[in-house]
Amino acid sequence: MPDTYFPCEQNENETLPGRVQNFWIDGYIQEGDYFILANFDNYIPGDATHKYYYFCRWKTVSVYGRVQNDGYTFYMNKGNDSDSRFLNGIIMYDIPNLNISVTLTNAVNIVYSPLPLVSSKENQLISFISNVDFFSDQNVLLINYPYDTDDGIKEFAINNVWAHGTWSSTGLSNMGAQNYRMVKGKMEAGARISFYPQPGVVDGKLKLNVLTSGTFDGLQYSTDGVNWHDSGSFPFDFFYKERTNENGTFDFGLTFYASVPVFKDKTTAQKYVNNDPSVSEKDAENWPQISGDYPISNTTGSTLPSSVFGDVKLKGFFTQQYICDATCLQALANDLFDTTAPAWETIKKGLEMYAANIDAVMGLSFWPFDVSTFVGAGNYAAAQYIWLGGYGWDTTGHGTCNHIIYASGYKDLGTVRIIPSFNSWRDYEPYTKLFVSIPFCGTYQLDLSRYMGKDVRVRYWIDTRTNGCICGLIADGYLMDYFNGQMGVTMPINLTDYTAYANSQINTLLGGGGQAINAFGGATNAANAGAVAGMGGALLAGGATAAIGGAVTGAKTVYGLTMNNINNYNKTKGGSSSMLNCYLPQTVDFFFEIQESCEPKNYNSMFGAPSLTGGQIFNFTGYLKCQSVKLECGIATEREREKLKSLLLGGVYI
Amino acid sequence: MALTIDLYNNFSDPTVVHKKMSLIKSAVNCEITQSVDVDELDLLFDMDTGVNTCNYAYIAAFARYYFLTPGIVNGNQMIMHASSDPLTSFWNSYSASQCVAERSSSHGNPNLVDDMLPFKPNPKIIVRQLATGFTPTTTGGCYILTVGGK
Repeated sequence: MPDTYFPCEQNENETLPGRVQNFWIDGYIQEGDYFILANFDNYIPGDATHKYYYFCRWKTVSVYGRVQNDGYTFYMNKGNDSDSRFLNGIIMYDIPNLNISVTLTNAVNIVYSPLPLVSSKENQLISFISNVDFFSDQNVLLINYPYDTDDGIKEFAINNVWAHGTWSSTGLSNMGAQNYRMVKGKMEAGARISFYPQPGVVDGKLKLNVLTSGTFDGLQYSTDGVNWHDSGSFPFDFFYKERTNENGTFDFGLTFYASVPVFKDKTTAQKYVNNDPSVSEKDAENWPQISGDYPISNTTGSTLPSSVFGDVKLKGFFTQQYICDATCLQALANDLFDTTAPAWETIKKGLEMYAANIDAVMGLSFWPFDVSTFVGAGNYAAAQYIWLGGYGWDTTGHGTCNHIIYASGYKDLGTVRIIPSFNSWRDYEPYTKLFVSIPFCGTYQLDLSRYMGKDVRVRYWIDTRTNGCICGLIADGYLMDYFNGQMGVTMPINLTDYTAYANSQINTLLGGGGQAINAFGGATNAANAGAVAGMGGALLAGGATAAIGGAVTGAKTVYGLTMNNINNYNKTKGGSSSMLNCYLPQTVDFFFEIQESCEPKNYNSMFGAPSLTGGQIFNFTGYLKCQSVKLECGIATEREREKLKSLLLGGVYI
Repeated sequence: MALTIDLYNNFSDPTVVHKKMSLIKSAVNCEITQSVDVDELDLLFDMDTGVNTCNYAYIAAFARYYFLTPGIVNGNQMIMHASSDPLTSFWNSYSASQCVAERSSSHGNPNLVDDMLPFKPNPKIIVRQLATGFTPTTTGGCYILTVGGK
């Protein structure tokens, strides 16, 4: 039973199995799998004599098919016998009104879609196939990108449908270049192929000369993809984009995708094949297509395989950091404040440089996870003592405590693949929007086009000294976006800390929501909060003056924060700080906001879709509204011709 | 000028190329009473031909299909105005013409925005969540103590 069917739109007026829209193939076909094209019809309505059936099967050997009648040609071949994963070429051109049904049998990892696929180097050839418009007057040159084997030898296959000669009713014939249309072989290490345009031959008659260097082995050429012939040398020296039909010479609108470098002139191409270090593939005119890099016209700067991240190992010398549990901290606090403890005098002696014992405690923060998983093995160690100045407080029997040796590290939370829903323009803004909610950093809208089709890795870096964090979104190895946040929760130790802590909370209240409309109201509340915080801190310290000062400081800070948020309210929707973050969702969530359409069921058949496709009118079915038409209608009067043109420009049903 | 025509009932819109029609009567005799050109004719029929029930015709002599519009009835005769239908008549001729489609049912381009497509006012929200997150509970967190010391 077939595993997968290509999408077909049943044509109710015909008994054919269906009409294939633009389709592409993505995936791998493995050894022993079958790729079958069946029921290949050149069908012209009302003309039964033009109906042909064609059967093409692709297995582990090269398969070539051709329908010669009416000059409609179809090729399908697998150019490399040793590795059957790559579908090296589907070349179809000048096929009007193609009706086809496709069945995949035992195909593995095959996906299908009526829509183009985003190109990437890995499946570049497949992408080329996807971009072929089978229904337009295009012919396509597919050249297999040489790929390395283990011993450095590159295998290649070239399908050359560019040729010149006579065009007959049975297709191409009498062409000098045709005999070498398909070439395959191996390039020894260092061997190279390049193209360059022949000067003076431009555009529709583009001629590309070929230069090679180094040693080629196992060269074979074929005219049909089935019968291969050995060749002692590289069997052609140019491609030529011109064909002649029975009506004379004509050119095709050409889609040119080559993964062999095409240089601007012979001098550059010659340098490349001579392994001149001043010229590389990156200097090729078609390097963007080869590499898949975008923007395709920007060749400045250098390319990087991925972002290079810093790796800092920061060590404390006069200050130390310990990862403690609550039991450990409580025991330490008890000892520091217990003047009756036997060790009190020892503690005081160890902390003589400080005005009070508590002054040796410089910071305390709560982290919503085990920090050791970020810092990583080797960067922390179990600590028997917490050193306060010269006094070593013994942690034995008081929970767990680890000394941070190097405060560095990161943690990957996982990966999300951003995939299209419609495989069309609707997958991009403004019809689909992508937001990400990042714990401790906030919620942001992402540029969806930068992430579409990519695996997005979420990585956190932390700074245990400032309690800050950075969350980075990494796609294809590149850091696409990053967001700052506050992950560690500052725990107040003294008055100053407490005031700052309160301000931090107020900042959250004002800025976290990012709503300017509430900003002034928030200021009032925040001022009160600041006052309370200051008072609280003062009570803890036992000084009324300090309480008032804390309140004033809090209010001033709040006012400043308020104005700041009014001016910047639209820059963030989150980024809360401190403890309040811990109440928010603790997972990274990607939100797709998708505009749903509500078109009638027969929308496509009644209105069609934007097309901008060129071709002969009988190539189209259903609704057709022409943008322009070059009308050829022998027997119509001038008035009928105008009427006909008006109808075609206004929209007709075929 | 006498003519022989086939009379049809056409059920399709003028913008349909392959019209759905049924043959009512073939080889009906009529006369051209007036013509501006071959595409616009006035034809005189006998009423008993049943032409009054038809709205479409094919004239083999002109190799054209025509839309019929009832005209003057005079006794047992009726004048029908015939206007040619080039869309259907010349399909085999003009269908090989080159064109660029602005909209098409069979050749839609998914990369082009369709500004005719209506949308619902409320967007649909889909959430994809990372399996791993943070656990700020009493057991899931930790404290970092910073002290002055060696």
